[in-house]
Amino acid sequence: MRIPLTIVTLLILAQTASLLAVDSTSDSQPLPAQISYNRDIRPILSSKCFQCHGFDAATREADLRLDIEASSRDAIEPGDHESSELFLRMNSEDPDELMPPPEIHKPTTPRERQLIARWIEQGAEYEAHWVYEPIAKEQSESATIDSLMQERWAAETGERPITPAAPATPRTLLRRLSLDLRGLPPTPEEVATFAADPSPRRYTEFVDRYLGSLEYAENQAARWLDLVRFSDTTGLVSDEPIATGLYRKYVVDSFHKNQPFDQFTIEQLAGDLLDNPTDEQLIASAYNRLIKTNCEAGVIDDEALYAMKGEHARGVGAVWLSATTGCAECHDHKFDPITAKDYYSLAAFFDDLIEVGVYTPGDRRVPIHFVHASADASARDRELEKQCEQIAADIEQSPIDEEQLAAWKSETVARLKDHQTRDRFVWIDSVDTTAMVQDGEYETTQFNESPARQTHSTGELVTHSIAETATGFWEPGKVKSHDADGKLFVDVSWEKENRPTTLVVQVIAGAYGRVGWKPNEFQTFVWGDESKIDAIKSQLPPAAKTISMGELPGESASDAWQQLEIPYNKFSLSYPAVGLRFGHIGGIVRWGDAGLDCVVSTATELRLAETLVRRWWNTPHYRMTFEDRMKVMREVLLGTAGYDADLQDAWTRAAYNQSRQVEAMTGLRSLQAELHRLRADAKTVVVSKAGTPKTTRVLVRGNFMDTTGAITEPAIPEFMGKLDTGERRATRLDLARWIVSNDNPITARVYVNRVWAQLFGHGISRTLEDSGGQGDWPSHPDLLDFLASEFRSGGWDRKALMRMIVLSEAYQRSSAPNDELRSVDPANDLFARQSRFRLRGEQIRDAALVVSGLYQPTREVPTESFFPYQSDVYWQRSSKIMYGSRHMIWKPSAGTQQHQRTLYAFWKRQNIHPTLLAMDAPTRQECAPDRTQTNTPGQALALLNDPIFLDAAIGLADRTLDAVASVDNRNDHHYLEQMFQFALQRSPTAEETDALMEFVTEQREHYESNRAHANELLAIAIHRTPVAKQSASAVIERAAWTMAARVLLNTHEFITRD
Amino acid sequence: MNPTPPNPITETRRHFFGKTASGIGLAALSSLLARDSFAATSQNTKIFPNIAPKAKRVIYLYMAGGPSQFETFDHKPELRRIHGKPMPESLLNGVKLAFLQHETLKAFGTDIAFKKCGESGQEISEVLPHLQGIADELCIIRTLETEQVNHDPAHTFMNTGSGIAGRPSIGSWLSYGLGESADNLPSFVVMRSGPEDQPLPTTAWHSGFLPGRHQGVELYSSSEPLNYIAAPNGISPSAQRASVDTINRLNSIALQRDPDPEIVTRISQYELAFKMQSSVPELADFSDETAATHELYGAAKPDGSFGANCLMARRMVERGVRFVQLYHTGWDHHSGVVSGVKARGKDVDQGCAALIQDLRQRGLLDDTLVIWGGEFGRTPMSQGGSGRDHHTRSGAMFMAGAGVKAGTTYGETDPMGFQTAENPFHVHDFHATLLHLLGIDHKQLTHRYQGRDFRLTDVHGDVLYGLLS
Repeated sequence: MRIPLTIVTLLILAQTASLLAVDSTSDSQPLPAQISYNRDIRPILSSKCFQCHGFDAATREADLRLDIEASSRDAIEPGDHESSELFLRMNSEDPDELMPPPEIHKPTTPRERQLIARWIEQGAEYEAHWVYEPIAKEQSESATIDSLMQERWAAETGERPITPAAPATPRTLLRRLSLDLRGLPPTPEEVATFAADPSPRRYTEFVDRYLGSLEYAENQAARWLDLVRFSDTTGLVSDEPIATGLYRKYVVDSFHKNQPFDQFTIEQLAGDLLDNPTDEQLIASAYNRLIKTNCEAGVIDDEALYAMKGEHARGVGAVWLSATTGCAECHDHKFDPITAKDYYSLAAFFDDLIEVGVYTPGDRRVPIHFVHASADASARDRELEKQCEQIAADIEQSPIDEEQLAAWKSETVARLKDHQTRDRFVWIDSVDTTAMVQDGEYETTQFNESPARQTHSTGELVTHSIAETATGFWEPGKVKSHDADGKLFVDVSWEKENRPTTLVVQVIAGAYGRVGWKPNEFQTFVWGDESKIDAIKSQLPPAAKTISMGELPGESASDAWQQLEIPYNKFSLSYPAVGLRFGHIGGIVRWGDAGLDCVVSTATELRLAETLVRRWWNTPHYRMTFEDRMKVMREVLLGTAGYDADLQDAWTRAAYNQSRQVEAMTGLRSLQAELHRLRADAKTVVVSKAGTPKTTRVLVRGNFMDTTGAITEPAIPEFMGKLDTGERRATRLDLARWIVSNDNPITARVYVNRVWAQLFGHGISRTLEDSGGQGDWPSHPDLLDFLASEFRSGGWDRKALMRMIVLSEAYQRSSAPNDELRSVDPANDLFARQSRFRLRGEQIRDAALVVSGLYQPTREVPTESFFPYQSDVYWQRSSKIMYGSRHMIWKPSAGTQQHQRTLYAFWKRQNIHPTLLAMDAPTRQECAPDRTQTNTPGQALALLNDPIFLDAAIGLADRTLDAVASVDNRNDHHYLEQMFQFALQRSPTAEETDALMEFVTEQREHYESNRAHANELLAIAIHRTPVAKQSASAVIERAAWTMAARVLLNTHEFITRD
Repeated sequence: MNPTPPNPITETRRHFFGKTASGIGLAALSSLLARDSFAATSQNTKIFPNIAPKAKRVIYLYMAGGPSQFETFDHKPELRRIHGKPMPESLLNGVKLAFLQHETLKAFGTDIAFKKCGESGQEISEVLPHLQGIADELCIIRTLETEQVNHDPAHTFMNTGSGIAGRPSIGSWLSYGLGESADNLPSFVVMRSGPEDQPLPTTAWHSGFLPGRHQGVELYSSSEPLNYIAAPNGISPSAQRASVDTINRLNSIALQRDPDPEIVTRISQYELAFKMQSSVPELADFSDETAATHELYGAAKPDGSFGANCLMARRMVERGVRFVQLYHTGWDHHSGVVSGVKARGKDVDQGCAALIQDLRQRGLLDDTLVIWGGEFGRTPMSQGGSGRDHHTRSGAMFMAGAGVKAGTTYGETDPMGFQTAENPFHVHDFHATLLHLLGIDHKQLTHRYQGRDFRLTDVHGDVLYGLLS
């Protein structure tokens, strides 16, 4: 007998039945006595007529608009449907007359035509679209969720009152509450407490306790992160990591402290534009930087910039307005009054952001904000940044004498062509005024009237290193032939009485990466005592790249500056050199300048590089690699660069001004060096930073190459009104303030609707992603407005909203329909019962960790993601092909880090975790207001075979065995009871007991005869309780109960919120 | 003597579940399912195929990076004649170029030889000798037109009909429209091979706004071809069988308490998952193939090569998989296009031809459509002297098998191969034609999302009857 086939057959039968059923059931329902335009008619017109008779002027036919009452009268004769063209055309038998035309494949149904007829008979009155209407004034003082619910039911069923579902059992209710608010199951103790006293008072206590917990904030944050498409990576092709962890923490903190939603909104869209923004507000503004960015080499800047504008406009639409603004990219919106101009005007709010269309691979997506541990460091950072900006601006803006500029240019060009004369380029100067990274201790001193860094060794190897200078880097592997005689020099001297035995210079080379230079190649040069070389090799690997350079220079003249020299031909480095490490054994050593002994042309090019390296340190520049920036000024001056002439001119002037203001530059370098050293210990996050606004045109049919469209200024959609900013260009801050103002009725409705959906399984309007003309009409408009009004007038208090809803009777009902509800409201449109749905992927993983006792509650909200177990094959492919980032490999986090809340798992847009993928998580490439719910074999495979669930099963078994260990005369029933309590917070039924007893007995037998299998099974938990330290029988028990635990974690009940 | 242990996979299922199902009653169960499970999740009330299908399944050999048509399927003696000279200016106005945005554009005629092949006399380059041998099976297309000039958006466009991520891919639409096709395998499978130099966006096989079960499932060319397909160590097949049985037994008990159709689905999905644990590894076991087959494909086991993936593809379609996409990377030849195409040709030529021949000899080619092509073509102008840039105005593909005209060439480009002279083959038209071959009117396969009825072809697309048999 092949039962599964029966199931398959049933499914097929059911599917066929449902396909046939859809139209007939809806058609057989009686027409409402009073037709409502919004509820009954607009959906028909919107999906079948507006396409050609609606908002979009470009596709309008016959100059007829059916979306506007006045215009519609050309086709409607109120009170007489038989004389109304609208009705007649819909019923025509002539294919040329029939509307909608047969070729668009949107025929009307008989019921729809009946509705139209009755509506016309009743006067064909229009109503404004619900979401754009002002939010209705508060209902009567006594209005509550439940009273409005009753009114709605009365309206639906008329005389016959509806009987809602019974209240849920205490266990079901507390499980629901805990899963909804905390995203985690309750403990058995909590359920027992509540079952013993299921009073409203006790329930309220649980509500308040849960709402106050950090777990609540984490659960809400996960949803918000879907909405704003938060991730750890850039999202396109090579999908590189970006620093966003602090933003995630900001979101968790915001929910935890119950920050009002209006502030939360303003800070994210425009935190950087507030007066003296705090770190928090700047971090919040990372929201604008979560968009996908590209670094593909062939990308066209303009096209990519318009793609980013689209990301910004769609983001505001999806997150705050539940509007599908993206539809207006190429044409006026077909179904909503959003024009193409509105779309581009919305995008224009974001034109001030410092961003580029194409980033450099490995670019950290600057601008980046640095967050310090102490307030002092933050204050110093800001002070230094301000000073540096001021000095840099002063240098750049100092007036230029054109003749002198011309002279400087021709002189510099001559120098760039001088491949003969020797020169000395100081790369790392004695007082490291240009360095950004340093490591190791030294004292500053003077020697022979020159500054020096002094270090002291009592026989051990003492080193310090200096890297990432504002003068960039140089490439030992790419020496030009005219520079073949060049060398690296290091000025050094030592005390006569305190002579070192050995001197060491290590060249640090690397590639430019996520947080600056990533050193990955080293070559070490040693002078002096040969016997020390092995020690040096072991301390400064790699040994193979350690070269002995002979005796210390200037043996006799130890009271003068000496020069260590490394000829170019000694180098075997393929990456650019980005820093030096200086070391010695014994003695007191003074270090002076270090740099290149080279020809004039090389030195000149290297000096010129500083201008652009400095200019773009925290500013992205189109596709130009950090390496390229080094060469640009040379090309600009020689006239071989292909850049915009104005840009080239500006760079030239900057370079000239820098070259002649030596003193100011020294000051600037010194301050910047301090700033960079300060920032070495800071956390980083991408943030919004305003610059000169970019230009946005209304693109003709979305084509960026067509520049005939008008340039737009930032503006809200015209039908929503106009921002009152006078002559001033409206900003993101204006937009954010409008979004949360009383002038905008949409956002409050959208927010409460989404919260409702979280707590009831679907929204009062089911389309969480679209509240526009094609969105679902709210089933309880009064209730929605009541909630929106309470939310907004109550100070956008997110916890209060949540609390109000979960305290309602409606929330606390059973999800099982009674017979009446089953027939009158099968889809639960009326909310006369609760809903049941599968937990989200993160919640399932978290729940498994919680019931297993492995869960690590968050003590401090992390700012870096952890790496969950992940199938090797998935990641191997990813690491080589998909995972373009060259600086990361997927290595599962060790130990208890693995048991953190899933919210903190590394999120890679191109390859989201396979278990989350199976559980319908969005990739977060686009804003995701809602997740689909599927039920697939992939989900079963993930729950059965993802190592984390085995890990959890072992934890649950261990925990169960421990808990029962002290029970006298314990037997399998005790274990089973305890395991059910942990996993499902209830006792097993007799049937369930039978099933599991049979299974455990079988597994026990299996592992008794296959001890090795038991060891393999438990291997993942080896760091907790090593099987080697357990008795044979203990291991077998543990394995058998692990298998039972695994079964419970896979049950439908475990992954379902009821 | 030990008795042979029962094979846990073929073992007769226990009987408890039968009792449970009949306990609820078939009628009640089906009405429950009808109401909540499907009516609530599927808006697709049309029944497909809605036109007579020619193809039942598709194998799409996807050459990622943008294979050059000038070294493969579009022979241009005229281009060779003006090799190294500036391209006629008139051709270039308003063209989107990726890397050649600011460069002087010079003609680049290849020195690779072409041959008129088979009875049809189709011209195919010497880089593809095996395909030259089966030219009469191919319908070569030379006028591929796309709108996206960079890899990520172009892959996304080629697979979803939109350059912006978020729309369903072709295979997802097919699964959504036609339903699941295989009992123990996914309907839509993706595999990859080729040099590991350039990433592919996974959006190319994502289900976008369609339910996740329609997503392409990536199989790896390894002993663990699918994420989580193997039970953890220490769990034998019989222990896994017993676990799934017990899970389903508990779920059945829950179902008796509470007739929730989602539980019925859950039970069936666990059963299917268990079967996949043997059916998927079985796919990758080539030991039941003949030596001649191993030789034909040049692969005796799944070794990560394109040839091995071709054999996997044949095995998959035999087992009911409807849409197989084999990505082969490494076709992005901004420099060294001649040597590059030669190397890639060597990677794929034998496998492509073997697959088509094998399908033919098994009688499967009549209702299997084979497609070959990349995300865009390449420029007739040189880039840096030895390479070619991305190009949206022309490019080559081929189709073979179900419903297409074998032994013909569709579309002509101008003498430079810069753009279409006759019969454009736009991506939207490609999609419309592909759906048509599978029996779907592309205008009718829609899904409402964010208030709009979306389709694979957006608001475009014409069926290209000219290349249909």
